Amino acid sequence: MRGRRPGPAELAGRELAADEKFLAGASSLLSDYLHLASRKTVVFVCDPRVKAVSIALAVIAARAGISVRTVSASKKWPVIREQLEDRCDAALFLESGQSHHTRALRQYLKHDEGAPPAYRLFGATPETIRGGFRRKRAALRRRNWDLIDAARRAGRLAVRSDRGTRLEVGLDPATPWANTYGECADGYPGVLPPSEVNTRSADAEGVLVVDGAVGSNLGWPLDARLEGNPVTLRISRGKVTGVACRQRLVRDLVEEFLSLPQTNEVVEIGIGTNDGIPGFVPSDILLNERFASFHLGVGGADARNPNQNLHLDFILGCCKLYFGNRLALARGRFSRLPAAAVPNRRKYEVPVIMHDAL
Amino acid sequence: MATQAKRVAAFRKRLSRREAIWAIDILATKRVNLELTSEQQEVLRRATRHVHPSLDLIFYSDEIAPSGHALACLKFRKRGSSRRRKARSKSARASARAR
Repeated sequence: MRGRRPGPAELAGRELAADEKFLAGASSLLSDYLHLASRKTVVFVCDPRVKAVSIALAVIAARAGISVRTVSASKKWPVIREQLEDRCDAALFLESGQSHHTRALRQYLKHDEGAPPAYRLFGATPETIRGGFRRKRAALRRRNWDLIDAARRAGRLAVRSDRGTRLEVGLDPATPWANTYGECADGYPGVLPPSEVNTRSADAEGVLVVDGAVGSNLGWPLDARLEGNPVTLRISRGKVTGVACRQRLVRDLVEEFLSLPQTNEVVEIGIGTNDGIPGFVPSDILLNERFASFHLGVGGADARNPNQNLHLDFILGCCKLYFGNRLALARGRFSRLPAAAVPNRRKYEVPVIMHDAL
Repeated sequence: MATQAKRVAAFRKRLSRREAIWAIDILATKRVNLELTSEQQEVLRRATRHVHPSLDLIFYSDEIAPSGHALACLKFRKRGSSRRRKARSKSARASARAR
């Protein structure tokens, strides 16, 4: 458009699109994670606070021959739905501090057979694009399944660190694991950036010296990184029983969180599996949780009232993770995990028809 | 500093109201309950020596790994309470002895 001056977001977006690392991350996001190619169409549902990133992604997509339509996440759901029902091969929600239209999107994906694959990119900052997509989706998916398999077979997990972490976790074989690597399935949007595996266990005991970062679904108000001010947590029988930190405000905020009813329980035993992420960022975004390390989530887990579930993640920086006695992760590098041994099975005679029915 | 103070105050407000600002909705598990036919129950009875009228498949994977990884765990729901079952079997044994 002649005569129109580009706004600050547009200028920043164009600058980002020329950044080499951003370009590499964006290309991987669009092609590998969103399965987009030339002549495909993507709809960006964009939080206005990350408009520059959205513009940069649109510029890069257009260069690859991908059509882009952008709609503000602050619009009402019917407006967004209309965009998704028009020609659309993928929908990408670019989120900043909050998630938009969570329930409406779930309902839409669950009930509308023609719904396009949808993805939600939490903390859609330039750092997330640069650092979050350096690993192939298939490689992370495989790693995650291998980790879940090894953890389930070991039945126990231990975390150690030079700064004093000594945590033992018993894993209940009946408790499911979540593998999140950015794929959307069964009415759930793909969660980005990738990737992590997590489960629950009330059998957690020990000391956790948290020197990576802190994250919360309330939006942590301080610099999320904890390297200079580690938080020490005492865990007993799956509950946090003590907090220590040199920085008083950090300690006070964590203690205030834990003092609320149903917030001091360990509700997540998590392993960030994206070893392409170079380090922690100051803002409280999902990228920190995906860093190749161990994290422990505390808070509420009331499935009947998920909106009231507060969550605080404590992410370790440099640590060693063991499944049983086997080292699985050390200082951000994963060990090669052996394939599952096929157990001996007793053979029962089952008529073929019955077997098929089962 | 003023900005940080504002952010901390806003955090405390959200905390007191239990007001989460974002939520990750991920598929953690899927449950499928299967009612079993009498023939299927018989197959399971031979394997486990218990009668299972239905079973729950609790999935922790959304893909079938051909290498033989476990795809799901099974949760069996027994018919009635064990105490009642035991009482019934005792009385059945007693009536059998009487005959």
